[in-house]
Amino acid sequence: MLSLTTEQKIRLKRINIIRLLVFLGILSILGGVLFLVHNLFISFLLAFVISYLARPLIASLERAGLSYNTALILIFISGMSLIGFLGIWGFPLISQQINHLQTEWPRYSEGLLNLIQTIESKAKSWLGLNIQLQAKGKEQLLSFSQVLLKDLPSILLQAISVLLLAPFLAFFMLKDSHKISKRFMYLVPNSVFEMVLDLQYKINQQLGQFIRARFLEAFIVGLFTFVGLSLISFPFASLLGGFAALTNLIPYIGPIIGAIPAIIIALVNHYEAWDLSLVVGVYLIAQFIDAGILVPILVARIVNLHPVTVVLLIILGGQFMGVLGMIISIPVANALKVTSLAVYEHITQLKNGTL
Amino acid sequence: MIDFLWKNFFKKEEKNIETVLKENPLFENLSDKELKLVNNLMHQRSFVPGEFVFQEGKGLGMYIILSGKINILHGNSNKTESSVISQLKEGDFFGELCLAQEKGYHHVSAQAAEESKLLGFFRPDLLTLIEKNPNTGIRILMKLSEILGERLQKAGEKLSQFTKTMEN
Repeated sequence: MLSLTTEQKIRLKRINIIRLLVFLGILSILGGVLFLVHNLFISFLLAFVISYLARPLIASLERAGLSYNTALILIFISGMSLIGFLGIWGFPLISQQINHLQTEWPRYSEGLLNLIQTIESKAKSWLGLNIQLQAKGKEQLLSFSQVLLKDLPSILLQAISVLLLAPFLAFFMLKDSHKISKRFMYLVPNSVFEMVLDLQYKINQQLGQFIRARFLEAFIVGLFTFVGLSLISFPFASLLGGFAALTNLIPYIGPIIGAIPAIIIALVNHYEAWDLSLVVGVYLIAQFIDAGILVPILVARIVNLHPVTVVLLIILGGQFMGVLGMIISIPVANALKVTSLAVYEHITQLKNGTL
Repeated sequence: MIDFLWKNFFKKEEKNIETVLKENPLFENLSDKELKLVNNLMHQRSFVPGEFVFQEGKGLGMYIILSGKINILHGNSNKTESSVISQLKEGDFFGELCLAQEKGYHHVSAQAAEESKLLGFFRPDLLTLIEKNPNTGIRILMKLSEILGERLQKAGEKLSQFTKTMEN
């Protein structure tokens, strides 16, 4: 047993503390900048998602014998051409539907107000409730109409620039992630090095599985919704399918939000009971496929949070960051859970008699 | 203090890392290209005299000594009965058992006897390698199981010897 002089012990402690502070400092500065610049945050988040989606593809090309960089470039080029192809094919369809929505909007907003009025009067006559939905609803509808008719082009343009930045960010993230993480690991003090490496690997693994599963699930649900709505020749099928896919990323609450626009459209258009039940049926079938087939296969074995916790987290996320917060609250909570468990284990092990 | 940090950055390599790797039984039948892959996954760590590389408890993988000397001890720093079992030098490696275990455990502690530079190779690195280059990964795994098997055999022999002396 080599015993340390006090001077040596102090030196060792100082080195470790400086390293830890530098490590944590860089991490928090990066996180802070991303959090404050909102658009950048979204681009980064998307890039993050893309990089996790691309990673297994790159690995499979590597297994086939390509070098990492060649595999990455190949995936990037084919991904970009896929996006380009989808854009050329899908853009006219979507812009047509958006145009359609813009011209139809006055009718829908009027119909919606009528609907609210009916609900109000019925609530009054049946339940004796005097609710004032209409005034509030009118205000909201007017402001939304404003957004839809005037600001939509600029919003779409902004969204496209955010979306286009993401693949390039993802490319560089993938290209240099190994170098960057190695440099980060160099800064980690020896005393916690193994724990941090283990954490990094586990969180990476979990996040990757989680993101891939959720996005595949959302894509399939969106596809089924689109196909189903097209089959019953419902208007705005592709927009509604995309919306259903996006909201499906929010557990439990998302699917309900996803179905609301379609039901409103059906009600405003005075659909018969049978047609209305067809629309609801499409969403229900999509959800049955999701809950019965996709979730058990893709998601269930990854997320180990209690349903009540999940719902609370979604509400918390929504409170802080809106829809984006609802979507990212679960993976963030998972990462925090893994981290806190490992840190707790490390600390209790230290308390048992070391350092 | 600052002095120490810079000294480690600019100190000339005592030995080419890939040569050290090639001399290690775990990596001895890998090609130069594969060695480069493995080297890319490894972590170089520096330790000052008296600093623990790891202590008895949870472990993640193995270390190869690039320079310096490492003491292997029984028990932990605050147990007074801690004693040096052996001293390892340049080219030696330790902790490889943890590579094979999901929940690895070090039964000894390792402490730097002088300024040492180690090359760490951990379970996550091995798993990454297996995912991306299964052939290389399998070759390392075969070697690892060979080393572990040999050690088990030796332990078995020692145990039977021990039982015999106990019976006598």
